Amino acid sequence: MVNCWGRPGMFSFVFAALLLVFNWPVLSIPEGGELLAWLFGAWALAIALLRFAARGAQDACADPALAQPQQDQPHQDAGARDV
Amino acid sequence: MFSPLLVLLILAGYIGCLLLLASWAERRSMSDRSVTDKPWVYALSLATYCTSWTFYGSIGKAVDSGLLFLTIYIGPTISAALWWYLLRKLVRIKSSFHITSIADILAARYGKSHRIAALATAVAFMGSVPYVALQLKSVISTFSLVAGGDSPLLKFVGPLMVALMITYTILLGVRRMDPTDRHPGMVATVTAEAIIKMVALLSVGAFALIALYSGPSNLMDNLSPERLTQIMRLSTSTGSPYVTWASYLLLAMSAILFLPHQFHLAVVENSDERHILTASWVFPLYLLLINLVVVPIALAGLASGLAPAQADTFALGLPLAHGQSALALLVFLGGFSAAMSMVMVSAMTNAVMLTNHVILPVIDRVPALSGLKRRLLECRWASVAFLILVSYWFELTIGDSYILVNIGIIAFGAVLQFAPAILGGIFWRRGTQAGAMAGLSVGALLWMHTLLLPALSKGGHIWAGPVRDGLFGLSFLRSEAMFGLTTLDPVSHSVFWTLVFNVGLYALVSLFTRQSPEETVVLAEFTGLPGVAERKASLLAEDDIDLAEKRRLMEEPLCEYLPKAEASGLIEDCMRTVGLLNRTKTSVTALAGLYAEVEKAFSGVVGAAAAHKALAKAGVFSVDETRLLSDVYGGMLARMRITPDEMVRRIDYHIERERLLTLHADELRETIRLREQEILERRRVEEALRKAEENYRSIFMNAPEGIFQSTPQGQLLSANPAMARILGYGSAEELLYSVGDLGRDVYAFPLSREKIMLALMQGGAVDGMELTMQRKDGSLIWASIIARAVRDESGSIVRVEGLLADVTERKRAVEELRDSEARIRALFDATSDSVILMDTEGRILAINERGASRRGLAPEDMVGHIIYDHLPTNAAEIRRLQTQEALRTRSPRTFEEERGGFYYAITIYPIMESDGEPRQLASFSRDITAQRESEETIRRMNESLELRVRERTRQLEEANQELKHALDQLTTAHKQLVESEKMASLGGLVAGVAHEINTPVGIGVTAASHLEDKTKNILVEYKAGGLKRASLEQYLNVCDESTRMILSNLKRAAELIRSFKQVAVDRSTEDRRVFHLRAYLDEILMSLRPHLKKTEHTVSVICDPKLIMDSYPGALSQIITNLVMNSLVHAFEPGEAGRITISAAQDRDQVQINYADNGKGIPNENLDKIFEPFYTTRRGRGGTGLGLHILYNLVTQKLGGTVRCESTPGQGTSFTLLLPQGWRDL
Repeated sequence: MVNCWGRPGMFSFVFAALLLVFNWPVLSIPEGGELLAWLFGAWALAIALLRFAARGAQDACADPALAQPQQDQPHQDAGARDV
Repeated sequence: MFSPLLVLLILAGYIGCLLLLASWAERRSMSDRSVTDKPWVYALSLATYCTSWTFYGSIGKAVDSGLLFLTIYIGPTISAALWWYLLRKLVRIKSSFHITSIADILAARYGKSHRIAALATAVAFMGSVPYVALQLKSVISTFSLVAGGDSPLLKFVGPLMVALMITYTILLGVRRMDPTDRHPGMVATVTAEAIIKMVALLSVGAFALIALYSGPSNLMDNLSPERLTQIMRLSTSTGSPYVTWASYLLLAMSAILFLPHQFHLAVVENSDERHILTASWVFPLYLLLINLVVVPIALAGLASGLAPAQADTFALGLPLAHGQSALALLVFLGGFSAAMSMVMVSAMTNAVMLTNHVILPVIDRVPALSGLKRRLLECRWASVAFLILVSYWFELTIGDSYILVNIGIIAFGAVLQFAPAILGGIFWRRGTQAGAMAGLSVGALLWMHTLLLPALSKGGHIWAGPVRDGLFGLSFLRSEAMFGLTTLDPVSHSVFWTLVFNVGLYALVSLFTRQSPEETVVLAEFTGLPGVAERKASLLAEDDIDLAEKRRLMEEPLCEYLPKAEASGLIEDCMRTVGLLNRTKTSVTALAGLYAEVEKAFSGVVGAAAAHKALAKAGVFSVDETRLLSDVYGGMLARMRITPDEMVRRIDYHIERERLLTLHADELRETIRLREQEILERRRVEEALRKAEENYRSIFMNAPEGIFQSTPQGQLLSANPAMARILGYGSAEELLYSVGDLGRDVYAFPLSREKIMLALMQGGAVDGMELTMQRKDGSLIWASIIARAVRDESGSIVRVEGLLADVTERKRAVEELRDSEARIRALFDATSDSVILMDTEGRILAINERGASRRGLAPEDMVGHIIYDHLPTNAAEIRRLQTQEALRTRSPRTFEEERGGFYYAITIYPIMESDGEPRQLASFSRDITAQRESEETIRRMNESLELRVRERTRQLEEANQELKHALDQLTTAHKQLVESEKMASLGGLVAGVAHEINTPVGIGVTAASHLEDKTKNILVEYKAGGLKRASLEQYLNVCDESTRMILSNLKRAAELIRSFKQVAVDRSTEDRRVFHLRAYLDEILMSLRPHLKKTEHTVSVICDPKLIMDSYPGALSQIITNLVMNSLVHAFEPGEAGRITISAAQDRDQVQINYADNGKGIPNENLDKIFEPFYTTRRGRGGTGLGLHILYNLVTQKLGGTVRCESTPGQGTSFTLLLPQGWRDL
């Protein structure tokens, strides 16, 4: 069974989250050593998010139902979207 | 600091190891056991992104701008979230179109245009040169730091590094023509280098943080608050920190994919798109780890007092400043690895682009260069060298002017220009070639103007006019303040304007231009959306096209680039793929499919644009065929009554369906492969089981010991042949059949079986129990049993399994050994000597009764003691020394010892073990006190004996002197006697001869007297005158007769005298001469006539008259005379007529003379005395006893011969003389 990390669009969500996380401290310019800690903390969090998303995508690839969602009937965007 | 030569050698060794790794990876790949087709390897290979800029530039940037450097690594982390969409798409496009580089993907998307590919190549080249120069600069400058001094070798470091990188790149990256082939060796080395550089940087970080400052808080305490704040925050010289931050992030997000070397590793070298999922988190993790130590190193460098301007080299300077040469060397190798991996991949991919998109088009246009079409590999090698040499020139002329931090960003700015065209090409269906050209070219120009130009002019290498005053003097075209924008830092400024113009022009020009048919064809695969095209319906095509001719047409352009066999092979593979192999005719649609396949395959060799152009020139399709193809596709549309858009959508749907089915087929194939592996594994296990069963069966059947199974009741379930043999049965089957109850039929005593079962029930096993058993013939044997009980779940014994061994012989041997030991023990104790067995330390292992009793102890009391403790000090020391000497020399030592008035003769024997080392010694000690006393007594007696001997000797000497004197007198008397005997003999001879001569002389005198009377008478008659004739005649007759008688008797006397004289002279003078033996013997006998005449004896001589001897005739005369006289005196009785025979004959060089008489002979008891002096049987009757003695001396001494006497009483005596014929020394 595929968990939520395997849903389509998860990587897009992670991308958006990372953009926000890595720009937020710069926008507010934290004082002293907080920026360093924030950045490395966010970095570790980013890696964790990417790990989960990758795992979810791997599980989704392993599930034939999810790997070929439009196997038998043409869709207007057939071929246009990556599964 | 190390010597330059040492550093070079270490470098050479390191590179050698990398080459070996690459070779191993290539071999594994060729044998389908690739080590690089792994997700973690793919992820780590992307770490080529961390070049020497990471090692040195990051720290410099940290000191200069605080945490801004992190954007270079956070950017790729953010973009990793898009890789599953973006990178996967690029990988699929790469597989479909045989993409080899960034320029290739642009060419493939935008109508296979050479122009856009060449432009992309130029931009990539211009962006790569400073970046490669940066790597060269870092390697050369860090080499000088690590290998200090003023060695002349340092001058050649630059050229050496350049040559090394060119060679390394060619060896690993440019060995084959088809760059779509992956390079497992190259990937393996960049992966290894990724690990090495991380280890190196983390080591320096740990050194800085822990070894130098014992933790972060201590480190921060060593810095001023201002400096600390500067590093720990984001600081920029100009502009908004946020904008700078965002610009850097954007640059890094594009660089991770669009740097040529990154594109190659991420897209071209990808073997499985699922690896992208692993890389999407592993690579960011790598970046996090490697950047953990950048800030600590920067802080430690500043705290250690290193100059901030040299912050680039803190990673190396910090260990060098603290004497950590080995760590510095590790850092150098890490930096070298970082530089080398980037240079290798970048040079390789740039060479491919240069060759395919610059050199090949030039070759096409310039016929004189057509020969280079077959030398594309060499062109690639030259391109590699060209890039690296240009980079080296860049580093030499311009690199000194900058710190490292700037050059990397400049390169990032260049590759950012690819982003709009590539991203637009795969996500936006309206992107056109013209739009891409416009955007890319303007973007590149603006990059040069806004980023590259200012950097070059600041170094004073080019004119600074455009930077200061604007391009063409137009102030709004100033490089770092275009259109009056002055609030941004130079990098953000460049990013902004280049993206604005690049994206803007790409979009605008694309909207106002049309896509070419080549672009439309590939649109679906790039974007997944259909292009716009109009087709006419047409009939289905028939198979009426000559396939061989078309093949020939397609082969021609390929042969301009490839050898004929390779070109032919490529087309054959394509024909096989589309199912046209072995066909002679085909349809135009099938031919179109083949054409597309050939173009795809060929684009992998020369790039999409060149492949398209080359095949287009070949004129594969005739005009009619082209029209027919168009009609066919149009007809299809008309029949299907669908719009072209709908057809394309359906085609896309079926393409997608085919892809999914292919994917499913791949998965099924994988499942089948796994099943086959499972089956193979199962077969292997079965085979292993079968072999194990065979082995165990072999052991069971061939074991020398009996193996059996039986029930608890004693019934045999199984037995091996050895068991049957031990129990005297012919086979295991006979044993099983014959033995119904082990207790009754096998065990000699039934209680034995009970005993075993009891032991099994109590302990579960029996180990080595020895029992008596009976064989089939009733004879008894001793057997040893090892058995165990097999129980069921309830714990009851269901079976007994065990081993049986015949130990009868062993028992017997043990008994014999025991007896032997008892005998030896008895001997050991019986001997009167003390016998001790000890170890090398002198510890007593065994001692006999005698030895113990000497010390007043029992043997068991002394075992285990040290023998030296039971000896007086001196004796113990001597014993110890002798023992050590015996051990050292490994030979027995014999010595004497005196203890308490007793003397002992001790012999110590080292006992050798099987390895030749002595581990025990045997000591034999004999009481020699009595012997000593005896020796003393003997010595005293010897002394007195010597005195007596001396006295006696003196007396004997005196007596000897007297005896010698007496002997001399006797010898003189003997000589005199011998001489007188000789004289007597000679006198006898003279007497004999005189007697003999008297006769003829008397007769002569008588005849002379008669003649005188007659003469007187005749005279009277004459004077009377009455002489008558008859008287005269009578007188004359008397004269004649008288004279005759006188003459003959005078001759006879003369002969006698002559012979006597000869014999006498010979006897008297003793001279040697040559003589006739026969004649001489006659003369001797003549001289003996007076004696012989008186007897009736006959003497006969048998000898060859010609026989000559060269000897002493005198001695021979004496000898014969003595023999004859002896015979006359002793052999015959008076009046007896005997016979004497003398015979002589030559026997080689000797003469054998035999003298024999037939007298009374000599008794045997006298025979061996006859030659003794003075031995005679007629003493007082004329015998002196010297005759034969003189004869013996004459024969043996004078003549050098031998004499032997043989006699038989009553039959005579014979003497055999063997004399040398000629004279010889005695």
